[in-house]
Amino acid sequence: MRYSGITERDRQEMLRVIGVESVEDLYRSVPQAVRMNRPLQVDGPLPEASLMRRLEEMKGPAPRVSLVGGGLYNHYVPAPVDSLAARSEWVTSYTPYQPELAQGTLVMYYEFQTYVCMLTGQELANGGMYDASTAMAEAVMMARRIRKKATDLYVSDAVHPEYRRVLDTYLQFQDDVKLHVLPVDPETGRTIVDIPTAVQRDALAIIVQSPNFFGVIEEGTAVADDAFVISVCTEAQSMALLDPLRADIAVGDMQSFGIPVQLGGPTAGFMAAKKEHVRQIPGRLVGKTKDRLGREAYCITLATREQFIRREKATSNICTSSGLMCLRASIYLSLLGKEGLQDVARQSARAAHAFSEALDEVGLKRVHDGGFFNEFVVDASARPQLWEALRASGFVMGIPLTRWWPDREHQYLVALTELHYPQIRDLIQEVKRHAHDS
Amino acid sequence: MGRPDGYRYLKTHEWARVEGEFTYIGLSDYAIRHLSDLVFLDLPDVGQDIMQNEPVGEIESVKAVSDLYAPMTGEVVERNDRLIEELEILKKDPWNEGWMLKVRMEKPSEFDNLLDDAAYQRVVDSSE
Amino acid sequence: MRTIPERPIFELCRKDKPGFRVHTPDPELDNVELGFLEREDIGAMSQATEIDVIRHYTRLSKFNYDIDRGLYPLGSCTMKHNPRVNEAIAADPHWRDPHPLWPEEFTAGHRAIMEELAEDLAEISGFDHMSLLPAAGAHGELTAVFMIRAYHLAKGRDDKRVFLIPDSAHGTNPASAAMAGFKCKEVASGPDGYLRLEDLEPHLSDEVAAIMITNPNTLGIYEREFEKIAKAIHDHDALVYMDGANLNAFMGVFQPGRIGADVMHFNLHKTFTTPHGGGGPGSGPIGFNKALAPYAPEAEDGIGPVKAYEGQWGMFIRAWSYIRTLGGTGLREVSEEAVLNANYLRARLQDVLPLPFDTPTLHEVVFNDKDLPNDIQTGDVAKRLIDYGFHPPTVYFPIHVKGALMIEPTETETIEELDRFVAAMTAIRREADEDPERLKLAPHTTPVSRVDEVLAARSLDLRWLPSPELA
Repeated sequence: MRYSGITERDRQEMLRVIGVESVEDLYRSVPQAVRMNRPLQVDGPLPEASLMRRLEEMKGPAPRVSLVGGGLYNHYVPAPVDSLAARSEWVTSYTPYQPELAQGTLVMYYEFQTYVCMLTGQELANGGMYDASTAMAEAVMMARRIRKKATDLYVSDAVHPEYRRVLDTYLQFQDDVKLHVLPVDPETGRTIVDIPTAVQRDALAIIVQSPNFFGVIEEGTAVADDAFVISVCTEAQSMALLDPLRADIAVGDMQSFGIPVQLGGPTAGFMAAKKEHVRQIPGRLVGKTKDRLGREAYCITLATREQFIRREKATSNICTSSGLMCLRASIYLSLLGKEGLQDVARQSARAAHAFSEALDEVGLKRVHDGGFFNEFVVDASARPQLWEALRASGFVMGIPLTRWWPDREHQYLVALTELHYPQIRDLIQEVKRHAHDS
Repeated sequence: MGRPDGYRYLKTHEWARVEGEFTYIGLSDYAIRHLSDLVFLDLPDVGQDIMQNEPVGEIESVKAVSDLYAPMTGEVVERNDRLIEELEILKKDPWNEGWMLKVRMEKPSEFDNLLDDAAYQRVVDSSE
Repeated sequence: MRTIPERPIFELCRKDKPGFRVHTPDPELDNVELGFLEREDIGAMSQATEIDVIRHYTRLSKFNYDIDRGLYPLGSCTMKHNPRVNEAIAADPHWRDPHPLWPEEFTAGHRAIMEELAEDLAEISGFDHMSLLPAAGAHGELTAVFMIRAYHLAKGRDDKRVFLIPDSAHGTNPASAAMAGFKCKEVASGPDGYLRLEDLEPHLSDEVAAIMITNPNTLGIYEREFEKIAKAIHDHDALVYMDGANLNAFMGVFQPGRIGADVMHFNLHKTFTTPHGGGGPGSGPIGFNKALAPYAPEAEDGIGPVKAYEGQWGMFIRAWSYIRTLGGTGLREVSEEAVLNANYLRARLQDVLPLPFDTPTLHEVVFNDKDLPNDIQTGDVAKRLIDYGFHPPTVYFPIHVKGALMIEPTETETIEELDRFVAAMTAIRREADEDPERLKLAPHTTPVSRVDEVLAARSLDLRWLPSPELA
């Protein structure tokens, strides 16, 4: 057996020390009646090279060009991120419950918490969530603990549709919560908050995403100052250049910072809030302290909120969350710094804006006129065959919105990142060529 | 024992003492001794109504959070905010300086339902 | 182990340091109007050089203990070797970069792997249906608990709101149940460490929705009354949730789905070697039977998605690779050797530390600190182990055993490493008699010693802030 530590001779010695004849004796407490009477039928065993060959055989085509975003973004991952994050001490270490043996991990979480505060403008951030969709659902649960009797929840129609389905799942047994959808202005693409300020103030929460699912920046959105706001950010790179929304809880995804897309998992969600809510926030918290000799040290703190202490009264059931992905994000942010981050964010934005202008030149207009960062919706009804023609040649020009909104025919959500920046003229040429044929 | 006269108790170790129409509420020395490493105290606001035997707050140590139960029913008229800032007072003097809430009693006769010193001693003995 | 402290990266950052650049600037493109006002500052974020970053995260890493270094006998965590081939595979851009919203022809290979993984897990667990969606074990528990609620609701029995949970259960069990609106009733384990039907029966009311059982339980003991208990639960129109954290003990030995469990979660980051990464990511697929299938996240009238997209694909491909590396007989050997290693440690340590239960154990064993001299506690033993070069076992869990010390070596340990561990524990036991202060103040050889948790919780310093001079 490949990863076994012991040999046959060791096995005999161990059985002798234990005082039994065979390993079967060690299973004497498991009744015969429950035993499997056949071996497990799974593939293998495959030696390493054979395994690699099997995987090669399973590889299918990949797109040549992908302008697909919708909450997950292919960004450049710098070599130092991969290299550092591959170190044994990061990959194979455990949750830092024994701080004396985990100061590396603990300092990293402290940095991650700090980076999330810097980016969101919030006072407090936890050590990560599974992803943004669950972070949003957990934010609503947190709002329930804080807002007590309030039960009216307002969610913008421009919040990621998959996140809203997750929220529905988490809330399905909480019959007292009333969900209201805030409409989107079809021209600007921004959320319309057309409810009286008194109603906003008494609401459980108002959830707004920016840039929203359509890529539009929610600026000037008329949310009352004393409303309880949960803000969502899926393209974290936008936080480099855009001021964060005023929010009581800010959630989102750190995937754009050195975390490969990986079909959407794993990633690292984030949650940030006002410091006064520290006892209501779920997830791990790492704090700075001293050891018994007065030396600076870090440890998990306020664990009394967490499941392993508080059990059924815990703020959530979260145990394992996103460790290694938080590390990748921290390394990425440290490597780029503010200047590098703003530089690469500008490259994403410029690629997207240049591409949008080029599409406009061949009759493919942006659907919304609100400002955008690196993602927008284009109306391709002038060239109905274009998207398919491009796809057939391995160029995926965005996501058909009919996937969620059947009436948005020929509308595509298009995202560009710095990966497209150096080849933008070629991409534009290719699209224009196909557009003339469509 | 060191417990002062005139105090009565819940079996969950909260104490009450009566002064006119008010009752003072706190936590016994036994409870505090077993809650090592105190970190945080969460108490209701002034003006809030509390009910006998209902949870009204929480006391948090590094390893655990315990609910605090109201020994008497009434309205909170004062809260010992100084205690919240300086939790060490509880270790020094849980009976006087360590008072937590001053409550205007709604049903003074509830005091008779509480455990007297001897009955509370039996609770302490059975917990050891 | 490195001893000079490494402060957060921000101490190395300065405004005049350059920061990493991705592409050569394109002057023509850079004239494109962006139409929004740029943010000036990102908090106090500035830059570190690449050298700063490489050194910092390398130095930080050296403060961590990890499995590649040595034994990590954490009971309940299954800290086994993380195969390197899995990391190499996961780093291949074809497996690393796919987007779930691509047209399906571009993710067919990925989905085929997911289907095969689901089949493997179904075979291992004996369940016919799977959902790979949950992001971690606790998330799998949550998904299952929601499904159980939906199941009863559909039968007009939403009054069934009680979950029976043994006192030995992992903290996520009651936490998950509470998140779905259930009340938890604790059931005491019997005197020999396993649950007895007779202790369960008084709790078996009409209100019971389910029981959550770990088998073998957190003491490493096989729940010998599992089938009887499952039958009694089913007779009360309730369901059996099995916490699959201890799967490492019984692959190829028994299948929970065939002996009475209705739903089970897997921890891919335990039995299936996906790396622990300092606290994740994990992956918590669930297996369930036909009765619960209509309520699955993916089912038409099911509970709905508990997470966006497909689940933890990065972990799926690692687990898929691991399963194929071993094959069916290999997986059975994994369990046998996990049980062998744990029993070997039990045999060699039973004269060193108090063993609260005489009952046979499988892949993990729980000792405690009862009657240790000089008021030595489990925590002291654990901290002193650090000085001997080991990560401590799980301490103070399960909570129903006072001073619990839970040891799970896994199958990837050598006899030499196990013997070293026994030698260390033996020496520590002797020190408990001869030099107790040494234990109480341990560890002595790490860059930081016991931390002040009270100060941490009171000062709540949870983020770096620039000192006034740096601001």
